[in-house]
Amino acid sequence: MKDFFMFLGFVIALNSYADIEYVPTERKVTSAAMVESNRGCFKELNAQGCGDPGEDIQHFRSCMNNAYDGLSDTCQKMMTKLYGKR
Amino acid sequence: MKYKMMAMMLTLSLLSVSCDKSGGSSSEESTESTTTVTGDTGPDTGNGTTDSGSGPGGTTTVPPPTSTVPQLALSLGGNITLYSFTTAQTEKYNDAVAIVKKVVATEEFRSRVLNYTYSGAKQFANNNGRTNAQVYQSILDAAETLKPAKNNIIDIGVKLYYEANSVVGWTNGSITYINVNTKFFNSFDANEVAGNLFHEWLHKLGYGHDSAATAKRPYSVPYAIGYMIRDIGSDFL
Repeated sequence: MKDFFMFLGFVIALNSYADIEYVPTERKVTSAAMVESNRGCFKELNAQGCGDPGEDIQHFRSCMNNAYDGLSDTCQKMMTKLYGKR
Repeated sequence: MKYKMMAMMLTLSLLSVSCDKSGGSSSEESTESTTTVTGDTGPDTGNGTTDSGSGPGGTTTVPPPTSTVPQLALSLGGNITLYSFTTAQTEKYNDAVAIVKKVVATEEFRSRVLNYTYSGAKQFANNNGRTNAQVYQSILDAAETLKPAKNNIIDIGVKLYYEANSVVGWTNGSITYINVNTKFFNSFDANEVAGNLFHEWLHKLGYGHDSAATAKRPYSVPYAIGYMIRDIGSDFL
């Protein structure tokens, strides 16, 4: 019995170092049209002085809220989806 | 009897352990140096954030919405060491890290994590006993199992290899880096790389999933949240 538990402990220790693999179930490629549309929205906001959300997210959000009413419908929907309702 | 039980345990354990992955060479010529991509702390050798100061002096008096995204989600940093990446590979990984930060800073990400449901309840599979809110907080705390400080920084190394199988990447509990298969990395968009990065990083936070492709596996923390990063990240391509 003692041998069995020693063996079990060894096997458990081995398992803790088992490789954890990532195998995606599906590939999801974003269409060029969608990429263009999304970039267009951020360009629209950048042109209004909002910058990039990766540079200063607080400034971006504040600016985006100020500029919201003047954005295209597509851009408004995208901003609402990402950053919540105004 | 004793040996029968030992043989049975050995068989069971072999079925649950993945094969060890040996590294392969990258398909591109690579340098021998390492590149560290940092975020909000340390020298800015990669995609750092900058403080651009206050907003514009607009005439519209629209009050900013009450943000439910916590400050830690806005300040998540990255201390990511890239081993032997080419310049092009580094650029792609920088883009992926930038996407991760942008996605974590969104209300959409927060909402998706908090409201995630599995098996009729708001929970992830293989959640280590944590509620969705606790899972979200653990992401913001960024305390890896092997580097347990709650520093709000993604601390991880990344190594590339090539293998002609279906594995995009892998890691295990004894190493602080992740391994990424260039068979996929080279053709992935930055948001897909971001999803894989986050998936592997969630393993570093201690979350696991079934080894086999069970019905439960996509609902595990690494898979479910990795897909969120990828999907929301497509808006930032």
